[in-house]
Amino acid sequence: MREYKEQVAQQHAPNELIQKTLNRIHEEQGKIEKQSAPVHESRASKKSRFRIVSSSIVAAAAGLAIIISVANANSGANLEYGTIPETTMIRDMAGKESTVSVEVEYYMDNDIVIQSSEDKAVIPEELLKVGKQEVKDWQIYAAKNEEGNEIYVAFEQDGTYYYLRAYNISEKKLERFLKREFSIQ
Amino acid sequence: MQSKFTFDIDDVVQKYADMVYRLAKIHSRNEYEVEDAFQEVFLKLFQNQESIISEEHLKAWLIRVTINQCHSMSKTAWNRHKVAMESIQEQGEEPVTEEKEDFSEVYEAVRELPDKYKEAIHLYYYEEYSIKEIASLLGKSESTIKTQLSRGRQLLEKKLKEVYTDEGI
Repeated sequence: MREYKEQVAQQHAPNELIQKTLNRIHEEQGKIEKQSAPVHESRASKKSRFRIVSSSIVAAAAGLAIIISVANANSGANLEYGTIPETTMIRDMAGKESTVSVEVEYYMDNDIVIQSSEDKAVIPEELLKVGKQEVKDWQIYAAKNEEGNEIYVAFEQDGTYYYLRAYNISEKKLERFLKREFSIQ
Repeated sequence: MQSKFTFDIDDVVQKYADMVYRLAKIHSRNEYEVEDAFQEVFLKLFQNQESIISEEHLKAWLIRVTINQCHSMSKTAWNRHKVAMESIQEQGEEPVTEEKEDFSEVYEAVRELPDKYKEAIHLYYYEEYSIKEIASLLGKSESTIKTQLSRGRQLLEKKLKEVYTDEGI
């Protein structure tokens, strides 16, 4: 691994990139000072939002087998989660060739990423295959990877389809998040 | 609760620029994505300063957020690339996309590993974190990290054998 270390050590962030980044941060600082808003909000109430709106033409994905097993280990969890094996890669907008407009939002320091669209193609086919479940008035798809540290959830609300991917978050915490953000309970 | 640890964001960007850049680089060959991830990580740091409680926590936070950012961006990589290309081409600029550097076989082999293996390898061999520290950083058990390191090394060995065999070495 010495060669790897040597190679990595030769890489440096370009000065231009560092300056561009600092400029963006200073711009944010300027906006905050202008608004005279508090710089810091409490962590409990803060959402970290980053919005991208983009269109894409999606490539076809390979067909993959999915083993479905039901796990409901966490107490208080209301959803049942299928399992997607490690050999399966969740592909965004898999298997569709279409122009899809997608919004992406980040929550909880990027531990939760939500893609939304008016097109159902935003939900990966691998997740749709897990099978939907009804929770009160909601029809939801939910699954986890084998290790259990990634959770995938999809649902439709008011004509918009949502695909959520959560890292290192318990089922209970995720479901509280869904309840808070989308009134899913 | 007020954090007692404070830092100058400019100093932190300078100090950890290479670390974040290198970590983003093993996740993507697209320079645009690498630069985007880099900027987003430090912007998020600025927005979440209050949650950092120590220098050690700061470094760990940066690593974790960089990894998460790279994972997130790879999911919409195609979308972003297309949007970037379109807007840059409209302005008549030369798009910055694929990297131009030549890397060693070992480095390329690490980059080709699945994310979980390359991250464990990079954090262990380059950043010199212990298995326990990596487990804590990535929210996994120590046995999982050991397995990922072991599996990563096996895949590297296999890959490099193929490379050297093809080259007649």
